[in-house]
Amino acid sequence: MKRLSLVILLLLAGLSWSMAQRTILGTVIDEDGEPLIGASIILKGTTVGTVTDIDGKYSLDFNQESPVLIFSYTGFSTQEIEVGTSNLLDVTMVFDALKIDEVVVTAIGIERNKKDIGYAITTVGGDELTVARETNIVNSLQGKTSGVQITRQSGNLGGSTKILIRGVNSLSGGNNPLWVVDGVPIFDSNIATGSRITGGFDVGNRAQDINPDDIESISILKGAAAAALYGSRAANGAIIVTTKKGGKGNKANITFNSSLRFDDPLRLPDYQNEFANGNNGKLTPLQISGGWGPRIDGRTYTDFTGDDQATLTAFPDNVSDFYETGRTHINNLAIGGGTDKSNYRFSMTSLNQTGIFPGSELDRFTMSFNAGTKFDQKVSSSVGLNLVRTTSAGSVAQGANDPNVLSSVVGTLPRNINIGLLTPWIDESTGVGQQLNPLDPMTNNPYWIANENRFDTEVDRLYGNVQLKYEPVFWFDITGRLGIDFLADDRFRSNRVGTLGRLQGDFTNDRIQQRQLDYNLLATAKRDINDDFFIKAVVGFNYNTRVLERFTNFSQELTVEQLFSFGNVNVNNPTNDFSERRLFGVFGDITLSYKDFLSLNITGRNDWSSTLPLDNNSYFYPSVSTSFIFTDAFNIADDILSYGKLRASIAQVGGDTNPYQLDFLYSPETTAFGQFGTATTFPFNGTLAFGGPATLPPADLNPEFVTNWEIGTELQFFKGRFGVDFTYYNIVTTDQILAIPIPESTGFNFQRLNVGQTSNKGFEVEINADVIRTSDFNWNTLVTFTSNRFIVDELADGVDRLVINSGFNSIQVIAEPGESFGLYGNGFRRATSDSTKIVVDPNTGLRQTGENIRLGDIFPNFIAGWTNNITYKGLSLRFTLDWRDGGLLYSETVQNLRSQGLAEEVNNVDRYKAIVDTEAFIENADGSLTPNNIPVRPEDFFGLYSAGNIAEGNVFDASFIKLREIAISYTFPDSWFANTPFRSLSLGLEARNLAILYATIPHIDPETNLFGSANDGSGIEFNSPPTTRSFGANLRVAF
Amino acid sequence: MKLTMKKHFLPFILIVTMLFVGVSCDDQLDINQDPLAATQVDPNLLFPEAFVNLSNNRTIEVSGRTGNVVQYYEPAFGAFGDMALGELGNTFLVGNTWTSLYNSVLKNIVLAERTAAAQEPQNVNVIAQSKILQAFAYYNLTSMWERVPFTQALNPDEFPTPAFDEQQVVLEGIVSMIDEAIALINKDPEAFRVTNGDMIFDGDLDKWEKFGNSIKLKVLMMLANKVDVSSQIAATINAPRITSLADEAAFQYFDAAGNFNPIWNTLNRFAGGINPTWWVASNTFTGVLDELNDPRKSTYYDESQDEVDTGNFGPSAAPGSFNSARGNSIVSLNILRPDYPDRYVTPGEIVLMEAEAIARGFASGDLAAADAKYREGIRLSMDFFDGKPGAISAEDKDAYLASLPALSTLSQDDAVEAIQVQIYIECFFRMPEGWNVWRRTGVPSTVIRPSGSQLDGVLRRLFYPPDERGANPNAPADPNLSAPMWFEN
Repeated sequence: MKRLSLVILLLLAGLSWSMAQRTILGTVIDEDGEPLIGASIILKGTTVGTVTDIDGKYSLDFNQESPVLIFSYTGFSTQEIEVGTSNLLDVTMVFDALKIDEVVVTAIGIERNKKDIGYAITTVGGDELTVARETNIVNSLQGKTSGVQITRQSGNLGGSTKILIRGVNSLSGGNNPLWVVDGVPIFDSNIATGSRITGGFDVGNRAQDINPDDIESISILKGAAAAALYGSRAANGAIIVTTKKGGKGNKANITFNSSLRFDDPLRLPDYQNEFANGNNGKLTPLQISGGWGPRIDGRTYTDFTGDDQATLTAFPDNVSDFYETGRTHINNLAIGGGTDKSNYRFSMTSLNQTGIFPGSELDRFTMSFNAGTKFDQKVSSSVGLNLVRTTSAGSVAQGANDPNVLSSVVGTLPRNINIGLLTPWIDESTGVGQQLNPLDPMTNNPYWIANENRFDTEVDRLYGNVQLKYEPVFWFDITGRLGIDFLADDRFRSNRVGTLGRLQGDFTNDRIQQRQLDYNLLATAKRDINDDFFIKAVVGFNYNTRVLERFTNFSQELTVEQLFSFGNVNVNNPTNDFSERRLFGVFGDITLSYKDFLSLNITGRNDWSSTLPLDNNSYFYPSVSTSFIFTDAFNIADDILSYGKLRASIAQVGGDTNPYQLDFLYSPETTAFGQFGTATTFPFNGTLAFGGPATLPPADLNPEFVTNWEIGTELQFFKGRFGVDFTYYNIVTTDQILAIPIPESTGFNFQRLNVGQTSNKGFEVEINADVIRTSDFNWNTLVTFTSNRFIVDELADGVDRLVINSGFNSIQVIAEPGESFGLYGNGFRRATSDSTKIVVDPNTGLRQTGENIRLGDIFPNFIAGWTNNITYKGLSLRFTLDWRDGGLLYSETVQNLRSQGLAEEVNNVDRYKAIVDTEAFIENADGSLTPNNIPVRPEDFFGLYSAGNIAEGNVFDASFIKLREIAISYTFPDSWFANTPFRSLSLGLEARNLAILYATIPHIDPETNLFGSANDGSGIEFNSPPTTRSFGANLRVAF
Repeated sequence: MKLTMKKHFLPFILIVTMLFVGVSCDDQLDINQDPLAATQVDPNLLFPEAFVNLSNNRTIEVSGRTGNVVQYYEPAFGAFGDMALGELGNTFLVGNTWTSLYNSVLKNIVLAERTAAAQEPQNVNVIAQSKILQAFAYYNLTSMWERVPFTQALNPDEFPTPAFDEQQVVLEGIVSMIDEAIALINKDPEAFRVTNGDMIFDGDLDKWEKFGNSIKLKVLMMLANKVDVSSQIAATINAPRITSLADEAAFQYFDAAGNFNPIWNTLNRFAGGINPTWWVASNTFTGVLDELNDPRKSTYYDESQDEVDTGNFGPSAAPGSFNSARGNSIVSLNILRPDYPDRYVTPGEIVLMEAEAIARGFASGDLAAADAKYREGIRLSMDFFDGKPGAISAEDKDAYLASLPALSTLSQDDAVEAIQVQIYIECFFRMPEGWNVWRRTGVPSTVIRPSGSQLDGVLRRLFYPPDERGANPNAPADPNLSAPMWFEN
């Protein structure tokens, strides 16, 4: 590194320039005569330039013989105009249908022309993200880009969304893409408090702190070539967010935006409403559950409150009545502006949301500020800061074995329960809260859970960057950029004294702090070598450090209720955690272009990571990509094929591992496992405990490598009205740093080694068409399609399975050589002689638990999206559809509804008549099979067909087609505001997640997952809170 | 210099910054030592992890979910007992148990043993304590799986895929392991030993010696079905062993959050700390108690909800019925209580086993001598509850013992069976001990195949966990789960 700084020193030595003055003035307008704001004007061959102000006006000072000005504006053809003697130059920009002059932001903030890029990159404009705003920015990308799988994990307010670009690469997890805001990486962490399966809360992925109103654009770098300069963290792609900057023109641009939306459950189960709670046709007075009781016939009975004169009546809406109408209110005020040398933008956003569960709410306040100035000494500097505070309350737990799993209590309310009788839920008249009206001696009143047991979060975050740029000559600059990300995530959960299952009460404080510092130093030189060749070279240095600190305390048995002091409990069980990692990198990037149609880009990066052995912590990885615009090279562009580009790239990205994986460590233990959530704690009666590691540390460790090649083409037809972008890619990840399972009889569960290989092959298609294009009426349509095939090529020698995730009842997600990730669970018992035949118990005629089998793949076959933008004058209509095909989902909700006799479909048979499971067989003593002919009660049939410990009956195809968003808006003509302070006004109606147009799974939204966004396993729904749809209105005013 | 400084202040700053980070590059990266973990620890810190995990597993996982195999109870639902039906879906039960024994118990005590062995001079007592506890862990393992890794286990460098040893090798290996341990013990009060980490004996080496010999006796009685170990049995029943309640090897739970007995804590978490007919009386076991008019019935079981204070217990459930009717008598909170210990070896079972050894002729003495041990063992079994919930009055104990015929009045076979029935009763709700009694002796003969079972008989073994099978090519195929183990007659 010392050598590198010497080079830079030499490059910088003694550079200094000076000039005299001439001023050109003018206005830039489009073909309709509307002024273009922010159009760029550059003096050719220099860095002297400016942009147009709010009225399309510009002025530029320079001193040069026979000057040429370059006028450019996104979406319009770039023009080079020679300046004559006049100092007045007005320009009309021509709309460029070919959209090839787009500048995109690539790795380390390097801006490149899209046409020069040799790999797939998708850019989503900020305006696409603020149509029907999502509270989690990741959701807004659904359906709008190929190659990316985006899955909401639950319906919780502030819940997480998983984003996976071109499949899973590393079997060790951590396959989420890197998020980068204005050139600096930020956390997208998703850390669970407690177990995800026993009453876990979906706490959200922290990329949701990025405020959609502050986003100018998002570039999605999908392949290793795109992301190679970011290093290992971008091995799974990178999402590059560019925030809005103040417009030029010394007039403030003030916008106010307000959205109000209402949320209700997207899908609730379809219930039978004819039969009461109970079993075998009889009411069960002590246990209020299920629907196998008597017909709801108006008889008098004793209900769960003890009223012996109650009338047995159906309450078909008792579940939907429990849910409230959620409300989302988003207000944003932004002020921006600047001069040709400075820009300034400040934005404040407040998001206030109440959820469908009583007592659930989320409030997020964001302040975003950025400013930059170009000083006289060829120095420019900018700063961008984002301050985000998010508080939430009343999140709902998932999983089982925890009283706070509210959706399972609400979702399985017997049909004869009048939820009006569940209120009041508490009696505080004695000074100590007593639970009222619990459903039965073991089941809490759901209103008690919702209102008395808390799960609150407070996240304070500051992220941003400062940048200093020195540009001594127009062809060379040097930039230093320091990025920070501080994240303090405080969580609190409590079970109030009197909660069934937690009668003595408990609470948990969980404080997580994450800090990241990222420093980049870049030197960029770009030159025309001659008329044909252009070269651009970047060398840089990167330093990154990340720290995680955590303190958790679990307090049990409160002395005084609702007093959450550590001194008020019988047992405190504190744990702490710390990890720190550092990384140094040097990198270089050279782009060589020939005649604007052939471009070659070569990158290389070397990293030194603190997580690898000190003597083996350095690793290098290169990439090469090329783009070839054959229509220009052979001059064959015509009205049919207007533009054609081929691109190819091959790249490698090296990866390190997590901190502290190299030593044989004894860790203090704070708990010891106990089945059914009965874990004991240390100190145990005053005794401390340490344990040896579960994973044998490696003797030596090398970095892991992702190797990726891709080819693609971009074609535009009919003067750009129809465009196709196609990519085929092949990604192989080798030398994975993996904790592979070793025989547990060795005393250890895993050994960390460089082993295993996975591959992802797939193709991506994006079709963009202007179906109709007239001056008043436009219809643009975008279709995205992705098909990825993930295969585990090999694990280690002698290892034939690796558990990725474990759920309940032996349901697991498992990696096996030659296969994609599989969902495993107990199957029905099969015949010994023929494993395709399900056999029943010959004594009862009922199905039985069989072996733990592979039920199928969890990943989809393909994902497609379809977005339409239709505009007529000021009126615009926009909608997005999202289609996911294939993949499996285990549904605990469906299991409960069926086995408990609540689902509508259990009434398709006559409950009082015996049925025969004709799909099954009886295995005779000699091994022969005869068709099952033993009649059974429907209650018993569903009890086993949908049993909790037999996954096979509860597994469904997770395919769906969703109407993701629909928005209609009207922008009032500017002429209306000529003599008012208003510049523009638009009004819109919008809806998100409006409908599931197609799904094969009954009762639930198939887009859900128990494990949260940080995890690669999916395919398991376990009492997830219902997702919501929302409708509302949006108002936008600009001053 | 001053002039250039002024002109190029910015690049200068940038470069200085870079040199600053660049110079100390290697120091900056040398941070990969976990500040919250140790690279060496005292054996006193490793034993507790072994004890707590051992007992958490033996209680809620093994006893609470397989106790119905020998029909100590009938569960209300599958989670508490469908392993007895041979259901292969119980991968977590077998996996948790295997992991607990190999990875939480054996790993940590072997690490403690190796630390002690590497010291100069060696900490012989730590080695002895480690070996005895390992012997107990292997006793549990082979009781549940028959063939398990023993000679090649816990040595990943040399044996990355440990071979599975025949049960005879494991059982004989346990015996020699205990012999080695006892030979090492140095009772000099100054000699180092595991003390505050010794959660069962507080470093009392006399008690460790007794614990070792008692495990040895239990293992020898298993071997006795197949090989002649009578001289070793005779020697062991004269060696120091657990014959008084004060010497009992048991892991004590506490009525304090975080330290509850996990079986009770299951009820605590889900049912408010009562047994809402989740573990009910099995008619096999109540049949045995009723025939003897055994006073332990009201210690082990409570009346059903329909029979409170009537003196009747209500019906018991048939094996495999998965009965949760409120009319059934339930397993009592005398047993399912927050501070109920996990009893590793009880004096009752050891003294009764001595009676059996004498009655079967493995050790010297006649049936009268056996009878004395028989009555002593039964009394120890009942005395355990003195001063605790479910205490049996002195009159009831005396009356019960008086009601039992003298063994000398019985045939040898009947005398042996009478003793074995008492061991079965003594091991109530303790697995795998209770399971071993029945498999070793066939007593009581009323233990039957539960209805609805996928097996053609009673479950006699667990299947190997998929994680071990997946990683270890040496794992043998699972025999039929109702096939007898090597030690069974």
